[in-house]
Amino acid sequence: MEVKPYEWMVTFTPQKEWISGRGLLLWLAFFFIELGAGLYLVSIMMENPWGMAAGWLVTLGLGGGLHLLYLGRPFRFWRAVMRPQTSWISRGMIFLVLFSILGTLVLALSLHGFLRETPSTWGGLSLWWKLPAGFLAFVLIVYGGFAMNFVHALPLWNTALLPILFVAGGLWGGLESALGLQLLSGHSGPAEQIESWIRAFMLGYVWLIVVYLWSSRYGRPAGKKSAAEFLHGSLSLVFYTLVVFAGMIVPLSISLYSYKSGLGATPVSLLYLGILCGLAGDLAMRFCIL
Amino acid sequence: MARWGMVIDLLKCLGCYSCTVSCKEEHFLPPGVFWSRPLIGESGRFPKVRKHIYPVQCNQCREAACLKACPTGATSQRADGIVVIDYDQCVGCRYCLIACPYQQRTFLDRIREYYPGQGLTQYEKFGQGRFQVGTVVKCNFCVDRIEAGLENGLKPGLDREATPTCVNACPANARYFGDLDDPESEVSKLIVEKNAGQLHPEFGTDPSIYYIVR
Repeated sequence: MEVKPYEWMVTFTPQKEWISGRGLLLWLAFFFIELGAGLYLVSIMMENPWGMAAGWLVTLGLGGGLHLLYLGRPFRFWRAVMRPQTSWISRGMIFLVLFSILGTLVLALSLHGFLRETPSTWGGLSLWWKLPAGFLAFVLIVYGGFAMNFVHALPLWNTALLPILFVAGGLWGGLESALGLQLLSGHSGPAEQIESWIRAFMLGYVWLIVVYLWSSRYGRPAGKKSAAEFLHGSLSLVFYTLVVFAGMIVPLSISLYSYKSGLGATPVSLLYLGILCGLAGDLAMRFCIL
Repeated sequence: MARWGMVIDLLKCLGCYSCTVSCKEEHFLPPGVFWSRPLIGESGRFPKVRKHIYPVQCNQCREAACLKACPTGATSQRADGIVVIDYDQCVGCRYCLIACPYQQRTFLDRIREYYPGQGLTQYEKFGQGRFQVGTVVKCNFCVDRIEAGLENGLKPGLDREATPTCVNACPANARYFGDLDDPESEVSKLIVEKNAGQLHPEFGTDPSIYYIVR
């Protein structure tokens, strides 16, 4: 027999462990790991070793470091690789360790120029190095979504859309960061190509957020309540100012302007603004979800 | 092997907090940590107002979500169904806290004093070594009492020395403890006769605590 809690019991209690107090570190850790891994992956494809270096630093230095700082017992972190058959935290830690080894090796070889000296970019020896490193970077982007997807009690987490949303966000952030590095370094490179990919991923990310929130209306009451918090509850200020305005409207407007007038004719400060607003919006969206 | 479970009769529960206090005493729980607690609220409008009391604690689920979430194996399930935590292995990731659909786990970020600024009492000093800051704690069905009782040939649920303290403390006899896998046990009979139910069965956790609501 199903025991139905009375209505007073169903005053939904939001989870706070992963977003308040020390839990803020985990919010930032997930963001930096996905951003850094996205930048690393994009930089592998663009053959930009300095982008790979920046992605590596953000992923391991910021993301990995913040993960460790969040733990109640950080010096026991090595125990967290013991149960990959059940726990996503365990799998994530294993992926992080593998990335720290292989990603570092591929980065070192790329910086040395070894991998550029091979005859073709995506053929020959370099493929055997770059493909696994790129795969690990992709897995790092997606594992946070799966870790949250496992939690059945939180409908906005327990949806197949969440890992996809995180992948789109991570790759979009990676592309933006790659463009930002390109602009900072002043190097000529495939900036137009990166910008066109940014537009595609941005539109995809916006569409996914719309679908994500819309689909919650047809789920459990807790899911509807969570979506309502986004749209007209305690999270609405953050959602509309940072996620919608800063994270979507501003980058989309700037992207449309650069599309019409050409990337070369677009002021660099405007491009930086679009990049920063996009990253802020992605960070804010993760805050709202957590 | 027995599978220990509990039946709580909501028609008898007074909301007196005896279970909460006895659990705190038994396990030397620090301030702010409650392994067993009643959720109390009201519904309706005057003059038709009703008070509702739901004593809740770790459900020792057969398909525990916390078990699958734990990356280190600190959370494990015994053969008798009790889910226990090895504090020496816990890294404090709090994934189990998030995974538990009943919110029955507590993270110990620090161990507070009952009388701030006045140091620890002898009682607190005695019990403080049981916990580690930075780990997660929860109800364990007084597993030490059960094991000690079984060693002495006692029967949990029947003999008080082998029964969880919250069951013993209840003045209304609203709690029953026993072997869910024994169809002749008191708890098994109550579940069938009173049509007792579990909390949130849709999560697929198969809790070991049942509630009698009518």
